[in-house]
Amino acid sequence: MNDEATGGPGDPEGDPRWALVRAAARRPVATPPGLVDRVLRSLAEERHGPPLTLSTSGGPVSVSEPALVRLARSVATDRAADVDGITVSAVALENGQLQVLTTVRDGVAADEAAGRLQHDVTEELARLLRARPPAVTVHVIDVRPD
Amino acid sequence: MADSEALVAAAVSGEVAAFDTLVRRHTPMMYRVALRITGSPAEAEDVVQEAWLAAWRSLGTFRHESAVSTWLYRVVANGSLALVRRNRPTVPIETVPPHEVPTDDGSPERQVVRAEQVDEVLRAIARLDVAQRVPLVLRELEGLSYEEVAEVLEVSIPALRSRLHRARVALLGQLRERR
Repeated sequence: MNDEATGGPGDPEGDPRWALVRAAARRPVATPPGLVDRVLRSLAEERHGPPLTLSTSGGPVSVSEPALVRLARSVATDRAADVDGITVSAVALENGQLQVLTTVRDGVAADEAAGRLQHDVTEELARLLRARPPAVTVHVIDVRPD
Repeated sequence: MADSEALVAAAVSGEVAAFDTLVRRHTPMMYRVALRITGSPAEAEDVVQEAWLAAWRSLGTFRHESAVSTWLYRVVANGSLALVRRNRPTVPIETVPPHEVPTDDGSPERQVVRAEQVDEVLRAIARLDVAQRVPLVLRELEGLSYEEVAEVLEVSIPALRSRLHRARVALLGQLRERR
């Protein structure tokens, strides 16, 4: 991007020492190892908040909120397929707890279906994360006709 | 490979990965500028982290009127300037950063002498008043044009020329004194 001629006599750039300034400009500067990763981690926290810390027998494990919610949504949808008459509408994390919003078919015992889904989701998350997952609450928010 | 303007446009429309690509691409430049202005590797790392967070937060206000590189130079120059001014009257003491890589031209003896002279230039730059140091780093070390430096610093070109002239005179004065 240099577009400027050097100065004439009397100009600083005409001084022989100015060659050293040009040499300084050519000296490479290595980026510190890990700096890019540290920046990316800071940005992830800025976007999603700090990661959640889960307890395991081997010590604490960090997981980002979006990753946990994606996993919980996948698990809840999958487990709901084995519970008669309940489908998952949405999964969210609020105040450190997983909220699973569901719809039940008319005529199905909603409390039993919700209770079984809550148990199955908690168990499967614990198995996948190898850690105690956040509390899971299942809400029945709608009833669909048969 | 997508250009930086396309990456910013993608990031504005919600593609987080596009912004992360910008980070990988421009962090070396951001660190180099921050190091040259602050004179401290540790402070330069802090400046770079904060500069990227500031860039992310202000992404929605990016107007595409200036190049992405100009915007990023402005963010990191302002961050470095703010840090140096906060730390006044501290004079940078870590003037030989550990991540410097020597150039490989000439005989070994000549390289050593040359490297020492370049170190002295960098120390002298770090001693300049920060109002002179920032444009000097952008112009002489980063090789930006007058127009680009003026845009980064949001000053007129005549004002920039004047500041740069004073900076060059001051720098040479320091180099003469140390001979």
